[in-house]
Amino acid sequence: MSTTELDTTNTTEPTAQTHTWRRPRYDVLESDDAFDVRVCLPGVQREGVNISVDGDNLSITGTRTHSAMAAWRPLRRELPEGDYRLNLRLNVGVKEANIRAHVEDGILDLTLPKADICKARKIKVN
Amino acid sequence: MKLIRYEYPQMPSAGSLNRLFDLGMPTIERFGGLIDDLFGSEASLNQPAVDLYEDDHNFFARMELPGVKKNVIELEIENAVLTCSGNYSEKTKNTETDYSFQRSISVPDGVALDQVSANSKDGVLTIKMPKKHASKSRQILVK
Repeated sequence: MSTTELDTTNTTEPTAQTHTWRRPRYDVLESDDAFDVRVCLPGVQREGVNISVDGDNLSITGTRTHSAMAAWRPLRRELPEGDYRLNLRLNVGVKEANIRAHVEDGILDLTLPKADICKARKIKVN
Repeated sequence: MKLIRYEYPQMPSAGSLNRLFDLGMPTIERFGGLIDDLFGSEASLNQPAVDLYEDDHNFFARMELPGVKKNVIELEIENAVLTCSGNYSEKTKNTETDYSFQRSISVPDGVALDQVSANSKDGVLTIKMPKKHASKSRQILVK
């Protein structure tokens, strides 16, 4: 996909029967001092996004808000159901305290600043 | 006169196949999606999926358009065909990508076309199509 150090986990954990999850579309961009992760979470408000970092595992879940839809009768459905879940494995050092997240128009923008030891060091030629 | 793009019949196996790979449902149904996932392109956004609902007074169409601003969405009704389209570009620090999408659906019978409204929130576009009041049956007296 893109040339980044971030990798998806290959382990498939058993999903809970009561909850169907849907894997969101996402993109990872790398800049000099950070990784930018863009996750498509249409229908998810700011409050519905849950981001956690556990060791080298970045876990993102997005819960969709169903406003007044309960009374609607579906006639034709093309969109998948379920809330979003994405697990990414971080195999680079990331400053966990400085992770920034921003949600707008159903897109989650996540900035993961690289840890200092992982940044490319520029060496000046004298 | 407007033509509606032919929709591929839904593949019953796509759902289970997708679940196996933990992919979203539409990725295989609207082909291209899977290929796009592999190559990282967003081309499948060309034709977004639509859900159609109704309640007692309205029909509702829902479309997922993540990252699409309200002002780029164009909606048009012509001959009972509702077309939603848009062109926009997305800028990152050093790249700019152009996206476009278009999707047409046939408007259900009995919709008050002049009262159709749309609302975009959190990347989901909801189009509300109010039903015309059902004409009450009239009793005719036999003289």
